[in-house]
Amino acid sequence: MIARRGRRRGRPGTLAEADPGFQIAPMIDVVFVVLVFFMALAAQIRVERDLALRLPGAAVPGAAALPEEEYTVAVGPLGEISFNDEPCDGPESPDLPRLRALLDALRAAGGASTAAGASTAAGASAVVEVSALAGASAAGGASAVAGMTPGRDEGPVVVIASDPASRYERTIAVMDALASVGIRRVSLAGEEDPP
Amino acid sequence: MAASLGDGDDPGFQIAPMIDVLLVLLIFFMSIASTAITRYDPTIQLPVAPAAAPREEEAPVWVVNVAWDAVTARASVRFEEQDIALPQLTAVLTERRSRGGSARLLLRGDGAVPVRHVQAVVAAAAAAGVAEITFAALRS
Repeated sequence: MIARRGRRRGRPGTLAEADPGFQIAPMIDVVFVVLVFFMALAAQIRVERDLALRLPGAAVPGAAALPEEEYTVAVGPLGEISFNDEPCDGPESPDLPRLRALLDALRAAGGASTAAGASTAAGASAVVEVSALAGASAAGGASAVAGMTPGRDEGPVVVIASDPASRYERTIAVMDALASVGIRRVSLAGEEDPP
Repeated sequence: MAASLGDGDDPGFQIAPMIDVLLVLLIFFMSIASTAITRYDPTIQLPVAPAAAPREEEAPVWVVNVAWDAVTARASVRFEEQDIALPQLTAVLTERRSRGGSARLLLRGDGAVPVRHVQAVVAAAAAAGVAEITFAALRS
């Protein structure tokens, strides 16, 4: 066959008969187009990450939940942060340095300090707790949470009470601060009937 | 002899049909990928959380997008590419869980959305008995 092909190349033939052989140039063309396409696509892909929270379910308002020490981080309507009713970081600080310092100290102390004045918004009767604390739920959803057992070894419980009008990114900033210091037991407090 | 078909002449390796097939395969996979990522609303500007953990891709997930239109000051909740009301979301999640489905809920909220809308979605998920919720964020 090789000899036959060589013979064909050797004579002046028509286009239909000529064997062009393997053409690398058009293949590189196509490969480059595909490469540029994927490069353009990759520039738009942003890798997302997760902040995890386990919800055993909505607790009944007023039920005996969160029996352990509990700290409240409140997010005001403009994004100002307060820790146990003490103003902490203003709306202009995206990284919440003072809250991080307080949470660091809290974590270092093992959550053993007093929780005086800790339950504020979370204790109100018109509050639905969606809690990360297994066993805190009175709605029977606690069994759905595997691998989380309530106990004082897991550190303090922090309730995030966000003003409904505040921007979501401020709540995420608080959760980020909690995650960065290793506090895993986080609850979200909200209105019972959000609009 | 060289010009006729079926006389045993070997045409050799043809690159053009191979590229045809490869392009068809490429388009097929592109279409598959685009349907896979349409669950993620690209218009949402996610908040930033450097301490967030990398995503576990293999775990099943229900994606709820909470978009925010700053012009009209309206939030919209989307589940599987469709706008959905919160009672309906609870019903859908409850129905899926009753069929034995188990997944975590991935909440992709725009950073500018008032947190009441996110709280409403969380409450709707909690009412459906969804035990695990994760919040999507960007690293930077």
